[in-house]
Amino acid sequence: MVDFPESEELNELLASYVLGDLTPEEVAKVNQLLKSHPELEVEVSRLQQTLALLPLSLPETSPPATLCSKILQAASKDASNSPTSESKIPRYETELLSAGIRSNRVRRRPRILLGLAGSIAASVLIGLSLYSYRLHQQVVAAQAELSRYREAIALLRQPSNRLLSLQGTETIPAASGSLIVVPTSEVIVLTLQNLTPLPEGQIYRLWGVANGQKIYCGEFNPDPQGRVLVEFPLDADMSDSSSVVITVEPSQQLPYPTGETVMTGSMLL
Amino acid sequence: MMLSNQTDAKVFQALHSGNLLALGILYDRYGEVVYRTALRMLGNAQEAEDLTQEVFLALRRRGSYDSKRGSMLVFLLTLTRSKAIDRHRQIRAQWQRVQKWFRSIPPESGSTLMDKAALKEMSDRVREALSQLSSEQRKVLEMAYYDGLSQSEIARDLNMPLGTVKTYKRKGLLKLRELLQDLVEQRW
Repeated sequence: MVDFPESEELNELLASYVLGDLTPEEVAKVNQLLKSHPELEVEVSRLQQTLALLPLSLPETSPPATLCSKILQAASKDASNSPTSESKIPRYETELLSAGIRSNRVRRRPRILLGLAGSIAASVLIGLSLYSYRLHQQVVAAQAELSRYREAIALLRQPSNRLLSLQGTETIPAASGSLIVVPTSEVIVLTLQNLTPLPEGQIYRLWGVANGQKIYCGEFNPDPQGRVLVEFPLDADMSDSSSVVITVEPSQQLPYPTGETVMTGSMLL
Repeated sequence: MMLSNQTDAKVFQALHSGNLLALGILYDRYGEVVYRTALRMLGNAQEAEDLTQEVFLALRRRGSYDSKRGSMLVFLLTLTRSKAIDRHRQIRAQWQRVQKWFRSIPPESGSTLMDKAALKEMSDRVREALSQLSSEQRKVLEMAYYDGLSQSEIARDLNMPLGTVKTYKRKGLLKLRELLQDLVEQRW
């Protein structure tokens, strides 16, 4: 029977145990303690989990975009060789061959054909599973987009909305869109098209103009097609404003616009 | 309910019954963090890519993950690390014990869904916790973890007494345990 150590001593012992820093005698002692006090297993497990989380502190990376499909391909190839689908016959045959017994040529032929059919089936399977994976990804994205549109439409149906029309300045004349002020939900919805994507470190910001002052409303970036659909909270000061501007700003947040005005809008309704 | 909205345990179950889509979903959740670890431990992108593939194939093939026995995240990170150390051909007895742990630890449910935001938040928490360790504690823990070095190798490399290395490692881990208490005690 091992003496039960004091709690601090015990913690240190378990920590070193998990870190693999104990002598064989100390390991034996801990193992005995764990046997006589199984509740200590929980602490050992938590120390091990703590240690296992260490790599989360590493900087985020971007694995190659192709890695996922490579893994899925390898997995589906693997599937055709997995222990569950592996038939006993080929293994038996290999054993026979290695024992120096040749099987009948006539009998072997269909098996080769079967093998060929199997590998065709496997490659069809790879194609199908990649295809269904991509489809699945598309469905997930489409559903998210649909629910955003649904929310936006629900907002548009509310009473006493105000609408502002927005037009690009000479910098991006093709840009256009609308801003809807929804006082009942205290939000504003901004939708734009033909916006130019910005280089890294820059962002678009929306400002309400009231009494000659510009009030910050929110910031956004367009999608790769230059489209925007965003919702911002409605600031009380914004309720008075009858026009808005959109500027290009550095990413760090500033309380006032510093960059070029690329779109302007004024009240329609 | 769509498979991609299911818990790790459910997705893993689907994978085990032969659904390769499930592997894509698990990769979507944890591929980056596995790659992140592999890249740090192997130091080159090609090897990190290979190891990430090996880890996910092992997950599918062996069916060795039991959600009742710890989170998918901890499982994958431990598997990545042990495979990276295997690659270094520096297998040590203590890491065999880590693997054994997965067969012996008490059941915990893996019922929470870990999405990218949750993983990002956890990463920030671990970074923050690590920044509260002394630089020596951090250094020795990282050398032991990522490079698979024994305490005597670390003592030699850093020109430090063995007992000091051992103390730094132990105190560092206990401090992390305290700071990350809620992360390892919550039932995910």
